[in-house]
Amino acid sequence: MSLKKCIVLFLTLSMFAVMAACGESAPAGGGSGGEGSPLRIGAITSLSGALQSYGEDFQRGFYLGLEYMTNNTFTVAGRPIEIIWEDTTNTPDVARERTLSLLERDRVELVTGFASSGDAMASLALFEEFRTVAVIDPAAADAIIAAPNWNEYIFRTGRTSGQDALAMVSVLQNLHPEGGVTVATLAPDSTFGFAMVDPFIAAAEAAGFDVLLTEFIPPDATDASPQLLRLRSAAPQYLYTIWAGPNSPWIQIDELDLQGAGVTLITGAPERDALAAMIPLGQMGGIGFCVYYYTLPQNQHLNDWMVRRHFEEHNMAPDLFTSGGFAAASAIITALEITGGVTDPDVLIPTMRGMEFNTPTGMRYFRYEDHQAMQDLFEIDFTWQEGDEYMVPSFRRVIGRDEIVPPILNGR
Amino acid sequence: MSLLKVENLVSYIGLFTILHGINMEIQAGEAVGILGRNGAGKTTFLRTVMGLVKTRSGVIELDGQSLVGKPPHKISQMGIALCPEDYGVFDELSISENLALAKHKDDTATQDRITYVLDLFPDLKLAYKRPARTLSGGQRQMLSVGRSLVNETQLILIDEPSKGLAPIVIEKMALALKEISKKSTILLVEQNFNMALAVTDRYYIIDEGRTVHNGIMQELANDKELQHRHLGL
Amino acid sequence: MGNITSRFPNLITIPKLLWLLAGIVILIIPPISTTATITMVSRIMIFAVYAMAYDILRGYIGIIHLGFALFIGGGTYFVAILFANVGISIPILLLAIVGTTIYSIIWALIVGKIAAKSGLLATAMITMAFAEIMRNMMERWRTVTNGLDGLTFRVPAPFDNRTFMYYACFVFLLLMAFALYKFTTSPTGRVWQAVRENEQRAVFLGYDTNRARTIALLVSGVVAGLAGVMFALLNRFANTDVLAMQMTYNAMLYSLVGGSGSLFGSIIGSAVVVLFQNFLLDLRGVHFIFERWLIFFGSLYILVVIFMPKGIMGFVETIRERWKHKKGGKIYES
Repeated sequence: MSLKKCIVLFLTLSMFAVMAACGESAPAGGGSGGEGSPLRIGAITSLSGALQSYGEDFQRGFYLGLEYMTNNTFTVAGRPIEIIWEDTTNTPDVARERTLSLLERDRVELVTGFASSGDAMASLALFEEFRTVAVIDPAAADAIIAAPNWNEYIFRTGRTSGQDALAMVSVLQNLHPEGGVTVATLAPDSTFGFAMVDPFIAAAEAAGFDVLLTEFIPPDATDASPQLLRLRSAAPQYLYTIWAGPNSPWIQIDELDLQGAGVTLITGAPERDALAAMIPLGQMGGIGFCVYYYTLPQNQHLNDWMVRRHFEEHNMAPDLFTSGGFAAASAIITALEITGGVTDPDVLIPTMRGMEFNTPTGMRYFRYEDHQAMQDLFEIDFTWQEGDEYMVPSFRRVIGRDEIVPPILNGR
Repeated sequence: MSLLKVENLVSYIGLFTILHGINMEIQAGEAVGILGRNGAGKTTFLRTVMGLVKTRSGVIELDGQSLVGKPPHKISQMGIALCPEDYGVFDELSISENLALAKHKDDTATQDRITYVLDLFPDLKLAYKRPARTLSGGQRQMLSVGRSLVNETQLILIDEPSKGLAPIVIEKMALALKEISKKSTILLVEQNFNMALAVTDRYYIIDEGRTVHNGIMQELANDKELQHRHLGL
Repeated sequence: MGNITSRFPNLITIPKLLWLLAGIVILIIPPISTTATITMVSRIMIFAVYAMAYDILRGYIGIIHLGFALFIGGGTYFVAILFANVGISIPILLLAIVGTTIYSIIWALIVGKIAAKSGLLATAMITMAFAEIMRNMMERWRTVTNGLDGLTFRVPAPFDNRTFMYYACFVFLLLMAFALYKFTTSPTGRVWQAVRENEQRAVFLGYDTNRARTIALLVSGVVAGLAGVMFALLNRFANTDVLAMQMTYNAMLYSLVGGSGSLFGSIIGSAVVVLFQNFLLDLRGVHFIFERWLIFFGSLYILVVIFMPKGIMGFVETIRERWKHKKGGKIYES
């Protein structure tokens, strides 16, 4: 073997050794003691790939949720909890196989997770086949609760895109109860973009708003000037901007001074990294809605606890999807306490239907028809001060869960 | 009718015109040498005949049929074979596969011709199943020439077969080519004057893309002044 | 990476016993394994066909098709769209197969025309654009395809039985492998190898290389499209990921790891890569180091490229030649 090859082999092996030495291990789950057979929960989400940070946030939130809800015993109804984690690798056919593995080989009694809607969609049929309840968070596609994909084993604690759209409209209605508002939208030309824009347009028009323009940008375009210039000359009062991922349009919006033309920016607050990308908007900021930011929930001692514990464990504030993980854990433990640890779907599903459970953002309940969690969102201002690392959502009011009831799509 | 007729051939590569006017007539059964300095356009001429280089204007006729504008594979099927400077053999295939690949038809006549090639070049018979990349330069040249004999070839175009070969190998090659020229028509491009002398009867000299002189090989051999003027010898 | 030519003799030279063993193993997997394993091996077999089809282009005729996903994606979407919107039955499945074949033929002809006029690099770039066009189309056609969120659908009996699906994939693999074997060992197959090595030499030998290339594209495209049909039947789900660059990378990786220029190499490559990935994912629970499984995965490729640049089959070949050499086989003269 040549010297060069030896060096490469040595470096590769050293890399493994270093990783082994300084890897951060996932918190161990499972307590001991208590009679009753172990409760196996399969937790599967994107732990590698594009949505890795979402999956990891969910993971952290899920553990904190279990800790809180079980009083740090990690048992429910006398059954010690065992969690088996799987990585979907953000690929639907892998997600499906790993879910199969959880259901069949590991014989989990419950499944939770899915950060990517594609991953979730590929696995939905399996829950019906294996008669296992699944609690989904945060995959947000409306398609998951729509016919023909939905089945009665599916419960979602995370919000659905339809709720986002209604929240945005609710914010506008609250600002202008008299109506007569002009809006426009700017979104990526992709499934995600349309999934957010279509329900918004429907709700906005139903509320009597005037939709002037809907502009779409190719997701990997670096220049949105044509769209932005058109928006600038149309000068809507409000521009609903939707974006996820790199190449966000904020810098250009600032450069082309849309706000100077009288346009107020409205958007849904994303996770911290994406909030950082909004800094170019500076002090003008905008208004919007937020699913979760750690300072927003008012008088929620659940949230206070989670924030404190999260800082203790992980040295940083919980983010958007951490709350979702907590909520999933809460729903599961609440349900199992009612059923006494029984996971048989004939008992569990009727129990969970309509069930209320506590979460960092307040009480949620699963809607009867499609098991989608009805939940509060928050109306916020985007604020920024010198020295802030990212645009900070600041509380205006709670958008009540009854203000944002999305249409039922599964035919029930 | 002459086997190959070339009149006022002008051809170009990219934007450069390389051949400015080639005129030539070859009869069946001849062995004709193409001589000239480096860069004169000899290789380009062979490639133009083969259709690998585009003809801008002029005539190329094989047995009265025009070759201009035809794709190379059609020209090959018409019975012209090229043995290029780099041998053009497939390194990863064996000798037997290289020869098999050259076949246009799968009949006994072709099989007989392959046998003839192996008799002509015993080296190839010894290395028959080996991949071509394991052969020496001389053996590859033999394979290249042998390949051109596999079909009913009317005209063989050979480009500088002696280049880079040891003297003793050149001798063997010259003998083989002489043997082949008894049965086939050969157009031989050569810088090695002695090789050309041994194999060919007539010659054309190409200089700066034009045919500037032609005649009997033996006479050229005796005319030192002519050799010096056109070939720099 | 190096080329291995006319290596299907490997199929025959590998001891018959090994073949029998492999066959038996494959046949007895369903009764003794979990559904997840059955699904995984089914997936391996489908990807094996996909990789073999890709290698016809890369390893035999020498075209780099950076948009190869459009073939498997097309097959998947034909099934998905018809099942989700029209109905679920065997006749509709046959309709999907016919549609996929026509679609693949059209794309193969288009690429053939382009490859005839343009060089290797230009063709590669253009094919990449083609796949992106298809992906974009499917993404926009949301009302029918649901874009990135994807389509779920049921499949007609007996394909809804996983064991049946498994054996169907096995038969599919055997049929396609046999068909491709016949192609690569035929005269057309030899021309492909000649074209890959040096197109011009093949041309002045009298071969219409454009025609040979088109045939390669047609064969490869249709086979990959059929693999897409099987893929849809297996997963009962389709989203635009199936037309994304990653899917093309998969084909490249499986065929390169296994050994380009050898159909059998693609089968080995798919098996090794998928099994390795599953192995790593399974190990997650054993030690936290495996959470970063992608690093191990990437390391596999680094190691393969450095130590086995000709892929696994090439490595086996090299060992075998060295062994023959040691045994005193004829040493090359000069």
